[in-house]
Amino acid sequence: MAEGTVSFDVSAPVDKVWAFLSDLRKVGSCVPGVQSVDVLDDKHANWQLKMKIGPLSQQILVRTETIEMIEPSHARFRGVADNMEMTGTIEVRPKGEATAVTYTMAVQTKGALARILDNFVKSKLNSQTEEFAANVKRALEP
Amino acid sequence: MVSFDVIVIGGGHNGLVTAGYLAKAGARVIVLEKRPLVGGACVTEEPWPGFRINTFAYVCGLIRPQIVEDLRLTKFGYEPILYDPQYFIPFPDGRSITLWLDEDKTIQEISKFSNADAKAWPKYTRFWNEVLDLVEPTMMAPPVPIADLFGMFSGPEAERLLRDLFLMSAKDFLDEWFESEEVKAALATQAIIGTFMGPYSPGTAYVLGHHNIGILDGHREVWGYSKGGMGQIAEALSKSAQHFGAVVRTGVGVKRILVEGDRAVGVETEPGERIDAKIVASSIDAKQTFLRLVPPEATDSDFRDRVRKIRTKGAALKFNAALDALPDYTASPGAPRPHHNGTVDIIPSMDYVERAYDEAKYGAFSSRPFIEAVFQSAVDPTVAPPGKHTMTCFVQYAPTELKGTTWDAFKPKAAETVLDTIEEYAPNIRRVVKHWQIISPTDMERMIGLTGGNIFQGDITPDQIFSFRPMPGWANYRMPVKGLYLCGSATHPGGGVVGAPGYNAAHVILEDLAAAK
Repeated sequence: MAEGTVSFDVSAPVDKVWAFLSDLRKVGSCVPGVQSVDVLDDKHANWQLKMKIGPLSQQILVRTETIEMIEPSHARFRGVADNMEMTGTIEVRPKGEATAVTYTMAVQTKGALARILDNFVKSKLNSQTEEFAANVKRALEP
Repeated sequence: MVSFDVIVIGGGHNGLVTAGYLAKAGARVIVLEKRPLVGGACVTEEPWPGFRINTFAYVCGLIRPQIVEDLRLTKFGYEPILYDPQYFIPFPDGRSITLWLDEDKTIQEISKFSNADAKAWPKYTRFWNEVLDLVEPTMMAPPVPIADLFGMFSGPEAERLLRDLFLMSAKDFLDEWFESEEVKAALATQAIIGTFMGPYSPGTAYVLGHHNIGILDGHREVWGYSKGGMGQIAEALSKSAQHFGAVVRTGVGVKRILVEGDRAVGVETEPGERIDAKIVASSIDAKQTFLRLVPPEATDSDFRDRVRKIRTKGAALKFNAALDALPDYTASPGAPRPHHNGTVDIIPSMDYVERAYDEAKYGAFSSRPFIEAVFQSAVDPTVAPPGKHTMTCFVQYAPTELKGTTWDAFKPKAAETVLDTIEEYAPNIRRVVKHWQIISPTDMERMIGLTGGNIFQGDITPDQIFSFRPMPGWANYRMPVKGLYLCGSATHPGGGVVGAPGYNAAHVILEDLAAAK
């Protein structure tokens, strides 16, 4: 299983950060490779991702479900795609006038190519979570 | 009678990697190495006092960083030295190309031959960088069918990559990128190293890719030295394996693999000792394992026939020398100069090397061979006496069998050809060579069991890689005799001092040991 965690501070109040992170369309604009987010209801969404590995790219449909939501501090979700399952958490807490965010993503690969996919994901996950953090900061900070 | 969980046959780098990971996981492991020193093709020896020579493999960079980290190789003495420039290619007209670590300096060099090629260079290196992103994760895992791998992707970009990497010759591939014959020649070297094919042969573009997987000191697609010689890598692997509890015995060859019923149960050593184990992992090649060590009745004739058909032709010899001084190249006079730090290739054109291959196809040593020379002492003074130097040359093409003679008889003539060829570019070469030795394809088989003198334990061409390695149906390290595994370069992802075959085999063995409990 591949896991990536990133902790970062956003120069914005908790309420503003939480409102942003609980809006899947806005979050989608920050996740690397996301091309569209189709929100089905308050718990379910379909995400279209373009995953680039070296010179090649692959379109992936990820179906997500929010499985835990404690406003305005904690959310947990899971996602399912053809060859992988993922779980993610977002923790948000005030830090002075700013907000501390911790984002964790764990990916479990499946099928005949699982071990290679796992290596692919491991090689990308840290940079992807860091890019996510940078995008969130860019979107929220003045 | 002695008993272990796993016997590893062969103390080459892959055998030691397998032993290291197995021992680290708690298995009781013994490594049996025929020669008095560990390393297989990754050894440094002292044929002349004070001159430490890389007898076979001569540059590092391919060993996977994860293995270096997991087995703590730097703690046990492995110290890579990234050299710069990487390549110097002198041409007969007195011009030369130097390929530096610094991209701008390399572009400047290439622009001496073609502005268009200089412009293409960053895109070319970016292409290989991206291919490495794709290939690297596939190396540290058992191979999957190529069709499944490419099935993950679709579209013209995947089609094009499949065509470029698996179907093209190095010549056609490089023709699509560059216009200068000199630039293409400089890059073609990596497409034919160790492979009994010329750059016009389809499939050599993949060989080019295989040699672009190097990572050292944060740089990609690079080569370096192992301080003190390549043997330091093997020594570090051996110390690591022993640190984790493995037993490493040298000077102990294996006479046969013992099979009872349908299962390997141990080995008989050449001195006649029986050692039992739950598992036997052979890091020597498939031919040596199945045609020499495993009793014929343990496998069916169809399997043995397929083993015989694995392509293991030798392509090269080594010319190793002790030097009184560095060679002085007409194309860049003076010594020492920066170009002595790295690889010096004599390959004036792709036609030149194709002609060298043409001769070897019909059983002759190339009258003007491709020569890749390195002078490790220029950057690592530990390998030669003060003021002296080492030279090790990879010389191609040297076919496994010479028509009308033997390698043992032909060595003096081969040495003359090598020196004549170098002399055309460095006229002082005969004056500075103090001692020399030739390691022929016959020697490679005799000394370290590389069938035919094939340095990769089987060509790394598209028909013998991934799930085709060592042969279709038997690519996941498990062999048809239960409890018997291959863990050397004969398996995915192939040859070179990479370590990934040993890593992958160890993990498959650990899965099976756990399942058997």
